Amino acid sequence: MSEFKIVGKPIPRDDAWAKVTGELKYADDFSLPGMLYAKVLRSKYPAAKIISINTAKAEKLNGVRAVLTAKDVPHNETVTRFGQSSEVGKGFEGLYRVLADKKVRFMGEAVALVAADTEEIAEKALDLIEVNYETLPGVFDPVEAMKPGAYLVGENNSNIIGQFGCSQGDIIKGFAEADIIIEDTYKVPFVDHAYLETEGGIAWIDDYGVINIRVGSQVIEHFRDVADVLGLSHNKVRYIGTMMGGGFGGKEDITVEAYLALLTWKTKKPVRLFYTREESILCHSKRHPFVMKYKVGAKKDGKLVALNAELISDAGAYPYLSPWVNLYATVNAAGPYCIPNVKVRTYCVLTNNTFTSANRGFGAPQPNVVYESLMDELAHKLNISPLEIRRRNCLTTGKSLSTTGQVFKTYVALPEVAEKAWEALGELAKCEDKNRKVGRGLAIGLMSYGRMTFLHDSSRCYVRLESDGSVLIRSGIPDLGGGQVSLLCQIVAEELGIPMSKIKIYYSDTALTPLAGTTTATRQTYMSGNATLKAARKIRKRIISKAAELLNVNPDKLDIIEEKVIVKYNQSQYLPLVEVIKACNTAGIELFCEVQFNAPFTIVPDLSNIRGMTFPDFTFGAQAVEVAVDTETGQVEILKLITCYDVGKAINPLSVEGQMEGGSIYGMGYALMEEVIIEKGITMTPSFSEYIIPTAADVPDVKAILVESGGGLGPYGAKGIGEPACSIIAPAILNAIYDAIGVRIKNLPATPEKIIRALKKEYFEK
Amino acid sequence: MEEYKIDLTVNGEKISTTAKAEESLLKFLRRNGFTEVKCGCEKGECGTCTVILNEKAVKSCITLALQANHKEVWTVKGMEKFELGRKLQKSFVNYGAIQCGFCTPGMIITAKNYLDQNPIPNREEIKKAISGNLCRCTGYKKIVDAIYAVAVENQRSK
Amino acid sequence: MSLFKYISPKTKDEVLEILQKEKSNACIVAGCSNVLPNIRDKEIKAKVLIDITNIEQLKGIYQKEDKIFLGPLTTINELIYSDITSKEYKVLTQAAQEFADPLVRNTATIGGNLVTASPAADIAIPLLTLDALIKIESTRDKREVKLKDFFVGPGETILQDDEMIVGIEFEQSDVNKNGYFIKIGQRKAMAISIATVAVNLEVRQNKINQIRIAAGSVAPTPVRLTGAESFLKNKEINDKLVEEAIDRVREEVKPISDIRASEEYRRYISGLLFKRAFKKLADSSIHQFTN
Repeated sequence: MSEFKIVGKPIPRDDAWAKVTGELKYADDFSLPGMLYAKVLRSKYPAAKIISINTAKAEKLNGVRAVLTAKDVPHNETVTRFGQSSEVGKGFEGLYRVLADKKVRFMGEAVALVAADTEEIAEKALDLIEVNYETLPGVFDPVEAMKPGAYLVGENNSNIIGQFGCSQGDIIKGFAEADIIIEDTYKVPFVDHAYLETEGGIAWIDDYGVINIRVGSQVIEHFRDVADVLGLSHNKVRYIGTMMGGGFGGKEDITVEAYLALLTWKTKKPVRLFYTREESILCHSKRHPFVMKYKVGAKKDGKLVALNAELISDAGAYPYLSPWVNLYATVNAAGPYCIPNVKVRTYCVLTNNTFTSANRGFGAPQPNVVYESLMDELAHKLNISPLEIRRRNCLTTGKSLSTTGQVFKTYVALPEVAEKAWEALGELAKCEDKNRKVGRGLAIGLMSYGRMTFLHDSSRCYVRLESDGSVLIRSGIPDLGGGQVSLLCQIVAEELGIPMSKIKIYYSDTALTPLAGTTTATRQTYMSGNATLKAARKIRKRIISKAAELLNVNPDKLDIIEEKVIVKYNQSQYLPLVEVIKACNTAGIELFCEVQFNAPFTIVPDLSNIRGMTFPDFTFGAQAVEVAVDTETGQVEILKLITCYDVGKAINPLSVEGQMEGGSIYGMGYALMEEVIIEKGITMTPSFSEYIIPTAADVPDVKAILVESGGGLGPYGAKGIGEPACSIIAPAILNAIYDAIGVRIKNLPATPEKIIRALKKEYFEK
Repeated sequence: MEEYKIDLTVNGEKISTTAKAEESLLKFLRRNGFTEVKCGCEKGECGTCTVILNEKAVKSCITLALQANHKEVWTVKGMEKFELGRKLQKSFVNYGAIQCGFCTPGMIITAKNYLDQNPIPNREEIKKAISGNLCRCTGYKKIVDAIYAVAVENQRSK
Repeated sequence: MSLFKYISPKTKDEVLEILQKEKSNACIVAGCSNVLPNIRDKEIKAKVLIDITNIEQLKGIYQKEDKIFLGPLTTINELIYSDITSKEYKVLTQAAQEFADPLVRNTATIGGNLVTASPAADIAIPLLTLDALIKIESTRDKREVKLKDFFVGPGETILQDDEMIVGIEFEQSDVNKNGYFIKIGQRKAMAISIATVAVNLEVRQNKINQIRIAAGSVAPTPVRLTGAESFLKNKEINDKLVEEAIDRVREEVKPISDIRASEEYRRYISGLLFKRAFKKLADSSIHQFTN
């Protein structure tokens, strides 16, 4: 197809009206008669032995229907998965414990569950459960936790739960050749997803004896894990995924589902459980803090010759997706640069802090902060512009990733996006206030879309063309707000020449919709987009072929436009789509199909030296910012923010821009204000007045520049954008701060206090 | 359990029922089927629960239900009864000001209430006006675009 | 299960009667921005919630002879939009504009901000530099105290269990009309102050005739910095004086470190905010004079 009818147009999303009118039912906007209310008793200590638990008083309370502890969970210990069906080996599977047993590992760990007639009774019952703890010392810093003799968080004899590495060339030789070497250590903090809808759902047992869980989840394939916890066969647990009020990776692990299943199984009644905001911040996953020790060497002309990186991440109290996140960090550690000699070592370490797992960017944003800061430092030291140093070093088409050696066969847009972003800043803002200094920063980056290829990822979709020309789609795709569901409708509308309004989609249901895989890893446009395209094209082909027969023309000459099968270049010759459907139905031609799309498959790599293909493809982008820094208060204001990505093809430009704008502000929060402060295992920021995210008053009008190379692996050449969009804005901001005031912040977030302490050393050291 | 009689109108419809002394307006509304009023923090720190109470946009999680006694409440579902409400909904849809949509009901209520008082604001004023409503998805750009477009329309039709 | 009661009296006297009867078991509810979260956190238990939002006597902003009277139920947004406060008492409207966010400002009241007695109470700071008088009543007594004597500690005031604030008053004086407020928070809206400073200043012939300085989030309560004030009083304004005064301010505040900022930063920033506020006022005052 040469001209698109719907694809590429900024059209309102399928779900938009339901959202602006308040009609859409999120997970918590649903209830069932006789529903019980659940609450979770959480550990008061970050590290303690559980000596005893007495639930007798709670059980006696009027209105309490169940009180469960570890002993009531059929399979309390299992391993964390995230929807993969292939074997990936022990390196990625950590202990997952539904309820704490014998020992608690972090403050807020679930110890007991209560279901009661009302929320108030459930809360009261929590107060009546007596847990006798004996506190343990714990360990709260991953660097400390790595040391021999450190307090052991889990049951193994080391806190290190994952080690990853990759190397190419010879770094000793590389550094020997360098004219300039920069060495530094950077730190990044815990970050919360801060979606506005907390984790929650409702479960019940249906007429077939199946546990139904209606929940906001990015991974409905967890139905298998929940079934395993209960010791049920997998077909006895069904997930009904709702539209989510944000996900960002935080609804990628199991949240409330196992608790709900246990309680509904025990009571045989519908059960509702929603986390409070405090619980959400305290108990669900966080973005990994990292300590990152880097050394880079370059020639006088700015050409990089060597990079050595040691990354240590805080996995918190349980592994969850930490090994995977650390693999991403390892692969991303050398950034989008050609460096002949590279060595990366990554350590993933348990502590008694809140567990860490997926968070938009999945291990990429952390090393990006460092290498992009170091590139900026190099540029300043060598007196080369931020754009030029990147031009001289960045990957281009046909080159390979300096960590794994994966070759880029498709268009690598880095030089183009870097230039476009930098130039879009325009003229430097004038500033009359002598205490306000203006500066600019640039960062470029790459991030994968699609899951790691050794996970053997696939997505399925079912499409059915009805006799009246309307379409039914069934896809297991979860929608966390990015417009995933609407995207599939748009593809089908394009292929079958019908308006969006004639499409009905059922999504995110493990019993009724073909599994489409997780809404994670920026994979849905690519994976489910392709599955849907494949299904739609099968049906399109059948329609066209029947119409060709009826019109007695070559199928190549036909297109479907506005519900008509038309002869191209002679639009007066056509058949109404419904006529062709009728003819197909009469002839017994199937106008429905379920298809599977498979990503490229590779074998599990040697984790100590990861080489070759680990991801299907990457998205390339650049971000440029202009800031004004108040040199007396340390406050930073972002004056301009440009985000430029090669998105391959923007299937819905409104959604793509939305990801780019939103991703930028998500990253801006990371750069300037966000931090879950955990002191000795205790979360000090358990509310939105303590965990600060940007408000409308804090943000610039983000300018999104879309490059559409058509080089992506998704439908119509699209690439993924959700996670890449947020992964490099933080270093761009840090670089702009440096440009403005000569202070380099190496420890996020760059708060006014950190900036002023660096600027006014004499004052603060006196 | 002591309950108090409460009479109010929600989206123009009379409601006569009871509420507990310490029940928030948010919980009360959701309990009575107005689930379009979202719960994000229950501390007045996110704005997802914003409703109009006697012509003022307020955070319903930090308002007692009984404080709405004999008063008028409007949620996003009532917005179609106002020309400005409909304009805003349409503009949010057309400008792609919605992603997950969880902040949207509160955001539209705040915008409606603000434009009622100040029909032709500039972009910076809009940003301040919606600064009590958090959004984690959009970066606010398209939300401001959507509200600003209505403001421009207001100016034209002035 | 509910341990709470709800009463919605129509007059101030009714409220006082209930307070007299219930004492510490009563909790006055107006804007409610703190009460409901506190109930949720179980910090308020077994209370009679006295909803005073319908009491007209406690509302409004008036000019009374040489004074300005603020009803305790005046909302923060009313301060911004009232002609009386917004034209002449900018220090108040500046603070009001920085207060929480536009939605909370629709319901949060001045009285509520004062009785909550947070060290970070933004409205208390300009009221301190306006030298506001707090009018307090109970069934047994009526009294007036200066706001600077009102706060006792974090969350604590001199109010007895049976007392309530019935009004806030300040003078329509030159010094009160020349004020400036600055806040530093972690972001531009919905921010709990890291530090706030308000200054009210009256200059005569380049000499400081009257000055009041107050600061928030830098001591257990909102405070007047009387040491710095007396240091400055009657002195001629010059750069050296300002520098010395900054040091005095930094010495006089007693901040703590918390998740928002360290003690050192707060000390530093109070001095800076003082400087900025003072210079704004002094520049315009001197300007007026020489013209």
